[in-house]
Amino acid sequence: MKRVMRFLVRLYPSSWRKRYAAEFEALLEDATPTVRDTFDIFWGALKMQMTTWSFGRITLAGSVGGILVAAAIFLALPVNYVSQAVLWVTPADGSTSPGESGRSLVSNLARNIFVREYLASVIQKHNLYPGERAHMPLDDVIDKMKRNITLEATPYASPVHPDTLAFVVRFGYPDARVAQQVNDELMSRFIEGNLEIAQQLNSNWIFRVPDPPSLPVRPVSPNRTQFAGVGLFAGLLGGLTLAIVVRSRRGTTVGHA
Amino acid sequence: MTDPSLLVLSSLASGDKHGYAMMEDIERFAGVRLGPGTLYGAITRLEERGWIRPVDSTTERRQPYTITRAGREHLRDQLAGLDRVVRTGMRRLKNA
Repeated sequence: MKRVMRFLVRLYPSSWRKRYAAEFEALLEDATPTVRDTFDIFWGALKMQMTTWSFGRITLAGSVGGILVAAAIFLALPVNYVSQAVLWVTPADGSTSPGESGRSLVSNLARNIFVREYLASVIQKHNLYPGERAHMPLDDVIDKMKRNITLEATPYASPVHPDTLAFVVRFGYPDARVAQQVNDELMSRFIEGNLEIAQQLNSNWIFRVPDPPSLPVRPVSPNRTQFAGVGLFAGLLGGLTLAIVVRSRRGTTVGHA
Repeated sequence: MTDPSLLVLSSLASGDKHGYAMMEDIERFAGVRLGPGTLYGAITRLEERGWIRPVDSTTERRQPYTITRAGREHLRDQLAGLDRVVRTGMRRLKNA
């Protein structure tokens, strides 16, 4: 412990060490060291350094500190990869516009995907959300999975059949490959559901998958650029505030010890 | 009262002391154990302001300090202020 403390003394400014290091080390030899003392010396060194730093240097240190804190938060946050697939829905005879009935079909199919039992089976099969399942009820995990699935209409329809309805199906998960596999499963569920509904309603739709579920390369969140920007801004602001506080304290030394 | 500078000045008011002796004395009369970094932070500030100064020592490394006249005046002002607060607080507690 004393060795660590002697090392920490080196963190004090050299001008301070020249004046006080010998007597400070004598104090460390006399005192019974504690862990709290080690932090106290480190904190004391930091404060002493701040009193000798220039305005610009404190601001710079604050900015670097802000970026480091942002980087630490960034690394601690869970990443999210989103696999995306595009689905075209066209009437089988190709003559009529899909219109409202097509939208209603897709809406029915989407409901088919959000069935609790089905999602529970996907969770089990792919061993999804193991951490959450350890401390959350399955219903909550299913709700979380539902929030990670999105289905939205897109204007990028088939150039061959302009009336084709186009949908984007997305699934987000911390593992890129698992996100792709689950999205693939969701797409299969869509197509199987279409066959069932076609038999029930005596209607027929052709489902095409022009863009199969992608294997995401980069996570969509957390956003690195945004984090770096916020970290730099917060650090700069914090550094400037700190520099102003230190400068004002230096200016009002008389009357306050 | 936990302000390290006031604790150091109060300790030196009873006579010259080196760092470790101040730590022990403060722990005895205030029940506060100042860490080495906090103690020397206070010593540095007080010496810069001319409220304490080092005195010649027979032991080479253990540097004793003494309180200066300005330091005594400062301590007296601070303690008078604290005394007013303590007396007001006690009086109000009694009346409450």
